[in-house]
Amino acid sequence: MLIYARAEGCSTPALLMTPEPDWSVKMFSRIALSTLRADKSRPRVAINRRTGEELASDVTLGEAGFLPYDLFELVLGVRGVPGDDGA
Amino acid sequence: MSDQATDYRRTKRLYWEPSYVPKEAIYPPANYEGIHFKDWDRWDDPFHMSFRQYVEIQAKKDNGFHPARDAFDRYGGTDRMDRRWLEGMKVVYPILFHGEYGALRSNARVSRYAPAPALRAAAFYQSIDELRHSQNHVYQMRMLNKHTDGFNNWAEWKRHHFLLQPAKMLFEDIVACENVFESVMGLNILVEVAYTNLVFVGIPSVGVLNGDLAGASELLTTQSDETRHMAIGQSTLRTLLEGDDRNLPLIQYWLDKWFWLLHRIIGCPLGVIPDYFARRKALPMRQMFQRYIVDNFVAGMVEDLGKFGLQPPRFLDAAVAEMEDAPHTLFRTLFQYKHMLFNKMFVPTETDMEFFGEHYPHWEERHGAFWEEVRAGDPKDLPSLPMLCQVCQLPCVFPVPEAPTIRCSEWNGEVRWFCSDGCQWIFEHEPERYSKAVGLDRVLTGKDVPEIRAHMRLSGKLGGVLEEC
Amino acid sequence: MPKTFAWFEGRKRPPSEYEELTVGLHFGEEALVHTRVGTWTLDNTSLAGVPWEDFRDPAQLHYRSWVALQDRAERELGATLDLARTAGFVDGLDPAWSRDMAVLVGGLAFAEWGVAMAMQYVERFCLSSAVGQAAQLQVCDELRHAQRALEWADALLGGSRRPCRGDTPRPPGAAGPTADGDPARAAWMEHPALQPLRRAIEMALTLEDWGEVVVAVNVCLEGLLQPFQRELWLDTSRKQADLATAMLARHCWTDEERHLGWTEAFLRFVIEADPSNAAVLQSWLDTHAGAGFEALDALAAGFPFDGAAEEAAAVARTEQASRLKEALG
Repeated sequence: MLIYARAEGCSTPALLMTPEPDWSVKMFSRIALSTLRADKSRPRVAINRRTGEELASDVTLGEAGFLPYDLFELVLGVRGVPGDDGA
Repeated sequence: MSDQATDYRRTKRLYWEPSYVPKEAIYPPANYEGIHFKDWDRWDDPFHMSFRQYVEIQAKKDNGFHPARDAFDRYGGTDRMDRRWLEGMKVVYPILFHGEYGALRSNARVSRYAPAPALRAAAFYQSIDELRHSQNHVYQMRMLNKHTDGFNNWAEWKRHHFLLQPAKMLFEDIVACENVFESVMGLNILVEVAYTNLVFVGIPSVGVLNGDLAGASELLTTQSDETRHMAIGQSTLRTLLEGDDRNLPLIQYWLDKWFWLLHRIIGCPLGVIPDYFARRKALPMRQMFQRYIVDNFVAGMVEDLGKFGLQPPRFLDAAVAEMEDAPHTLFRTLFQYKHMLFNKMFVPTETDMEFFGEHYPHWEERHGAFWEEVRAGDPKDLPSLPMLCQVCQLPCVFPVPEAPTIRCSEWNGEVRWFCSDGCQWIFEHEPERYSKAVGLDRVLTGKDVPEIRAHMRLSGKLGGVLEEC
Repeated sequence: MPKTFAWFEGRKRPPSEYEELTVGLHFGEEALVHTRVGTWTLDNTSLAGVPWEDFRDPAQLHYRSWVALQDRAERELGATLDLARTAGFVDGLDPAWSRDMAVLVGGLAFAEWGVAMAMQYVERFCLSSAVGQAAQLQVCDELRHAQRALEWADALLGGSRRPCRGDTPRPPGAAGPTADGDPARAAWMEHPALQPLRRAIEMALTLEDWGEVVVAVNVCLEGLLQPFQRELWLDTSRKQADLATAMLARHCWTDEERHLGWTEAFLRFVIEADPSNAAVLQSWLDTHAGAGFEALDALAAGFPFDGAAEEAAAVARTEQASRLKEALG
């Protein structure tokens, strides 16, 4: 599948990635943070930027309701705390 | 001797009302749909140029410019150009060529299809002027190509390289305008009245400080023709607003749209030239923007045409605010892609950072950490192209990559991303027009760096870091 | 070989200045935006399989060389016409001849501009920078001819005292009232001898295939009418000892030779690229050649000049046939 990924506070722009639909959100978050060269030490929440929906870490990307070219965003904060209003 | 006014009247005499085919077949109204004007024959060209006058004036200009360029080349001028400035010109000249070639083709259409004979006559001269400008830029690249890598495949890069896609989009968009008056608005008003003073006067003055006498001479001789083009735009705009107040909404939309496109695609990228590639600096880009765009263009336009209801551009405040960061954001984004460029990049020096500290109070806070990490050994190279805005084709990194203004629209089942409210607003007004482009980030999905370089026609050792800066 | 642009590398000979400034510079693909009316497409001509960026104009002019050339040419032509007008040479011409030549020259000025308009379309939509430049320089040359033709027509009608007239008697053969007292426009709009040409130009201005425009205008019209004009103006002005009209004829022909030259090169080029283009060209010739002959015959009949027009028309037909044979094989 084709989705963009970015990490809040990271100097890397959003990059288009080709994860497998059966990867979990948690797994893809790790891969994305590495690819984006983002600071892994800060707590983040994964969201679908288009919808603003927070993604549970054990859901697969295929189940998460992404459209092609959606943006998987790792916003700073802990689960339940609203991310930044960008969408 | 026949005088200039007489020659001009002769040109206006040459248009006739067809009778063997419907007039609409020769001058399809689709070319000016939505614009109202009672008597197109009353339209006047302020310059009244005749052919003989044109070739005489232009030959004189060429006789001044070309020998100066030849002498610069022959006596080692290029060797004395600052190396950083030279790298910047590798980016600037293909963009300028995009502009001039697009203007040439656009004016061929205005001169063929505009409903006002005088506008057709004026656009005709502009079209041939743009051939001059296109070829003068090629003369420069031809000269510089002899002395450095990074110019030799410029025509392929302007077609295929991600750095030049925004300019490709912008000027093809001007060429493809359905309404000839929109192309006049986009080109003559926003490119030429608003930006050419900045590009062809402001930038050359910095170029001279950095040893680029030939480039300064070339850009200034180009600007000498722009006076006519600006006059076409200004007289067109005034005539349409004065002539029928039904034209105001469309003209306002075009002003809002093209102001944003020009800011984004020319203003923002151009900022890296006086702020970064110029080792010896003059005014910072944000002040040049304030002077040429805000104080000269916008204020002048409001003073002149505000009485017809024309408002300042919708996204003016956003553009001014962006100029705090745009040159810095773009330069460091380019640095992250230096392995995919045809020019070389460099790390800002202490002198550069003193300049930024003086003129951009937030530079250290917003951009300093990035360069500290670079100096600590992080090359920052990225493995694939960034998310590109559907409209402007620039990376979605504004105002700063750490917190960009990314906007999203769905259209025809596809998700589209935009770098700004301005680009999204334009898309939502004209989705069919702006949905056609497929960003190179999407075209090159899954490709590795060598494959990306091959697609963008980058060979050998192009790109990378300037060894001494 | 001196360092040049990448698209010239690997050749045996270095590119000329013309080539470096002109060739390989076009957009390359379809536009990144979609509009209904303004967008070009790569299939906007029926001519297929053509590597458009390989086209070369035999004249090898680019902006700088063209401006220098035309600046010199304008000084020469301008000096001659100015002298003829101000020194009373026009007054010494046969008034009947002057009037007929004024009507013809003035009327044809509009045809020149019509050709320019057609070439603006080619310039706008053609698929290479080299073809575009050839068309663009032709547009400019045609404006030159049109302005000079009107200037000279006015002078022939008014003599040295009135350089730009609007109050002359109705031209011979004119069917109706002149709308604005402009005899050149009246001739173009109403003179029976010029109507087939005006009809042909107006039809050409509605064509959508820019390749077809090149054939309809440059081959079928200009290919006939420019040699006709050259022969007729030179021949009759020689008999009148009118150096100015002869100079105008010579200057126009010098430019038109370049236009016909790039057109011939264009025809050869598209056929060499793909022989099936010959059939496309032939179909266009079949469609538009008749209009050219009709225009030529009407001009020769309407402006006989004691048989000189018929002789000029014969030369024109022969030259066009020879050029076509050369170009199409």
